[in-house]
Amino acid sequence: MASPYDAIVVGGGHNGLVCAAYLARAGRRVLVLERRAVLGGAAVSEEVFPGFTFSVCSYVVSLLRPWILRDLELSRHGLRILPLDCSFSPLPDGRSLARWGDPERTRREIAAFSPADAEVYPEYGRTMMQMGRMVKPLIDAEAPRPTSLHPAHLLEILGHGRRLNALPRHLRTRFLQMMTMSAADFLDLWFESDVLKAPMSVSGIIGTYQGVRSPGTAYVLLHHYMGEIDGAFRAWGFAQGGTGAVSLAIAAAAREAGCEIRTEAAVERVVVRGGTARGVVLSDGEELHARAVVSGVDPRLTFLGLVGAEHLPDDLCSRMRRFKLRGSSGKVNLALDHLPEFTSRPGIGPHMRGDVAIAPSIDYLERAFDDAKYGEPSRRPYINMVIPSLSDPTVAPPGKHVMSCFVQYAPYHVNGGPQTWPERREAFGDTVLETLEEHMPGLTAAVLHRQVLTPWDLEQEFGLSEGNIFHGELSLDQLAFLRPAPGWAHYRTPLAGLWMCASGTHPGGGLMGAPGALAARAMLAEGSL
Amino acid sequence: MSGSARERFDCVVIGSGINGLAAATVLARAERRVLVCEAGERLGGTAAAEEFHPGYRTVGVHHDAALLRPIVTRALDLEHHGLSLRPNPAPTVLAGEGGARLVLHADVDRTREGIAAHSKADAERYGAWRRSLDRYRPLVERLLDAAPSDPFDASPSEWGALARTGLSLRLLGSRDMTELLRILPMSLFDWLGEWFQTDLLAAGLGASGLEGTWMGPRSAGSVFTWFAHELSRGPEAVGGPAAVARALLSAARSAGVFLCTDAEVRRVEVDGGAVRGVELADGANIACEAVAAACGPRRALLDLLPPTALSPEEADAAASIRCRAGIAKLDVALAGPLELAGADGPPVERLCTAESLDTLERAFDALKYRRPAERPWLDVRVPSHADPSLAPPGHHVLSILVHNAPAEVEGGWDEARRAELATRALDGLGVHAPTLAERVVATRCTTPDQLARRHRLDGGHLHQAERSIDQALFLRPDADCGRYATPVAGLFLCGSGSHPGGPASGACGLLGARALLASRQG
Repeated sequence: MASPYDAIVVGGGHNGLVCAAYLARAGRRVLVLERRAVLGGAAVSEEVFPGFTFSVCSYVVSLLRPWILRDLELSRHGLRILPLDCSFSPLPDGRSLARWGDPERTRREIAAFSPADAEVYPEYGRTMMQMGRMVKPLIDAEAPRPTSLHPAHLLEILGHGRRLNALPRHLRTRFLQMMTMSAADFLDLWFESDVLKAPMSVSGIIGTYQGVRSPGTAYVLLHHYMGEIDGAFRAWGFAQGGTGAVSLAIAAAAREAGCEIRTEAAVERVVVRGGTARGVVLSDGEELHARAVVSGVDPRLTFLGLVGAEHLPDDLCSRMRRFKLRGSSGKVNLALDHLPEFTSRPGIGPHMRGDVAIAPSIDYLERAFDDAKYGEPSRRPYINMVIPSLSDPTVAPPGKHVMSCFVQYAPYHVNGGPQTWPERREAFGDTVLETLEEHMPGLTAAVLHRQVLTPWDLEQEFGLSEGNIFHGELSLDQLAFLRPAPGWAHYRTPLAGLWMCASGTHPGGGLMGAPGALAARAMLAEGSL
Repeated sequence: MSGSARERFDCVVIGSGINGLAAATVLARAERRVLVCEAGERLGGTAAAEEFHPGYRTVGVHHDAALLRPIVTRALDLEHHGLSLRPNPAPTVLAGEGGARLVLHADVDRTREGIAAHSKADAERYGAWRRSLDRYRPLVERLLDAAPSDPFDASPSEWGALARTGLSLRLLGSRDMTELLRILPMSLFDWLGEWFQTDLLAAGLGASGLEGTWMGPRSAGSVFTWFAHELSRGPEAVGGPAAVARALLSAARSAGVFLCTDAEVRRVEVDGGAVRGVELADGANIACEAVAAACGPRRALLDLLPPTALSPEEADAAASIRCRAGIAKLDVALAGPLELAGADGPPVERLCTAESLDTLERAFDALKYRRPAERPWLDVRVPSHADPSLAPPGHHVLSILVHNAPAEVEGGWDEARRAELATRALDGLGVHAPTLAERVVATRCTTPDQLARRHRLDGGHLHQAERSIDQALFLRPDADCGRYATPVAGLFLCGSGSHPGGPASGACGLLGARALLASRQG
């Protein structure tokens, strides 16, 4: 039977869409199947409450690769990024720290806590950028293959070594240390003030089941310095219309190139015949065929859910069963009647237009993790909050606001089992509001609607196994040539015709798009499409 | 100090612990005039035997008798100097909740029989797990027994060594190599969780990997420190580290090393970027061309050197060496053996009370918040079985490493807090050994702050620098000193703060001294 499609992409998340767009632009006939009614996966905007548009899951844009932005002409397809200019941390003692785009302003703010830290801060930024530049080629290309003896692969590794070697010696040392240090220890090398270190350290733990004192978290700090928008390092932004606008722009680019996209089309399983993926079966029984099936869902769901262990080597299946997903975060989205002020910095000022971190000290963050280690949501969680309606009036009615709170820790494997999360959901939401209320009195009273997403909800509603927002923990044993499993880290799978293109593959999670683009590149390079 | 020692020396060794003595002996055998300066009144550093109660002696602060690297034993003929080795280590008893018991024997099959009583599946996997370790062992030992190379800064003379290391990694085969690269940065919790379901087994196997670290079992990278510790274990020295120190002293003396006690080095004299001598606390000056510092790296680099000897960057790097201690030492004099409830069989020589991975984790949690653990886990040894001379006839000594206790607690350590820690530890042990309380003759609890003072250990840390991936190999203790040489010509680090680490390994001293000999100052 002649199949009308060259490739079927399972899942209309941003990586699936990026992959589809690249394939379609290369002239392939591509079909994207999305289970939900809206496109975007976890990069989605929804009007959950009339008049209020929530970036339901992913809430800021920072890691989106600039070359993808250019290749797919996302600006032409309607994407507008509104920069975030401030990172604000209120403290329980009434003080607060804001870090601004303007270095001089930041210096003054930090100096109130530590003059020494204020001096070092710009140097830290420069160092991280230098190291980020070095790492960039790693995340913009397929993972290296350290066990391969193929000359091309050896040369590639040599290239990475050369770049590392080209760094000044002290930077190289810092880089090597950073790979395995904890975020807290790494920041200790630079700074003395807890007030500064705590909100800086959290970018090392976002989405992971690790604490800021857990070794291996320092490396992720770098990831966040690689976020570029229009070539500017460390630039964060909102997508106008919510994060879903990113997905919609990619989808528009894909459609323009001839890609077909169907929503409310849930893939039940991958059709496997003779060890080859031939297509997919939808939940309504419809069977669709293609020369290649590309999975935009996480690796465990792909292999154990859509394909089935019977078609796969035992080794891969057991690796997938123990693949570390264990989501650790939740999301609370609020529709607000009005915006209360912070006690520590009164007024509805520019400090509220950026991201707000409830991260008053390293010990606070570590205690939040300790709760999660033993199976409870944090009694006092780390919260990263944004109020996009201050910068983007399209997401809320005039005078009203939306507030998006990323909350950690909410361990998927909670005591009593993940299925008890629905009973815990409202208590979890209450904890978040109580925590915020301490800094922003009157917040609870201003809430018109509250949407609480626990890791269980992220799994059930968004198909993220164990609620992991990155499709798998970003730990060294699950990165690069080990992501998602040794031997299958290059978008290929043991099944001919089955590919992977999402965050569970190199270079990993975040609203980056790189896995989708690199997967498309690998598929096209292979020539079988 | 005797008059004869006031002459000029080729090299002064700071510290007479196992690594210092190993370094001194290597240097003296290469015809150098060597003086060892020990700040304390006893030779042996933390390995010195101490009479902590009349008639009862310790085997040193640290008590693991199996960490002496065989290359040191061989290179310095320690068996000719009275060291006696037991090829098969004493079994380790894992004592769990509610009287659960598991014994780890050197013999795999015997261990498996015991595990089977807890979990058949774990017993099955234990064999495969041990075999996988045996495959990695040659590579790990190669790394432990050689000076580490910085692959990005290697001189042509090191290329061969690097190539051989790369080759032995390749020779593991693609599968084992990938697996090793995967597991090394993992946490013990995740790695052991992949193999075993029995918490007592996982905790008992993993506990030793946390020693000398500032980590819990959930900390990524604890597999790496476990490998470096557990795969470095060799035959056990009868009499523990103290016996190793005695053999080394004999080797040092016969090699012509000059030894003096109560000789605290106060300053390393530097002129023109090179070592010229040392100044002792009593004001004496000793001229020498090289100093092998077996003290902690922070002490050597920041306290002993004149402030201008290091560039600001080098001083910064030294100040960044982490050495947060987590272990207190409890010595117990016992009127009789340590008897476990309901146990018959051979006497207990080694016991671990980590009943679960969470026990280990919670002990570390306390450390993070600068508190001693509420329920510390104990690494207990009864060295008086192998060496009855340590206690009066029929009596025994317990050597206990109490995990975890920080060097600084809220309000500072005092006698009451120390006594409380000792009580917590003994109560914890008493749960498994009901006769313990009535047999206790005397106890002595030494907290990290005391270790710091008595033994001049940086931060009270037995390993002088935390064990972690970023402070390992050529980055131990920091990038400037990772190959024993320091930025100051003639000053070499050769204590446990250097590769391969470990207060009782001797290899830090051996390799450090060899690096010194190979250098211009040597």
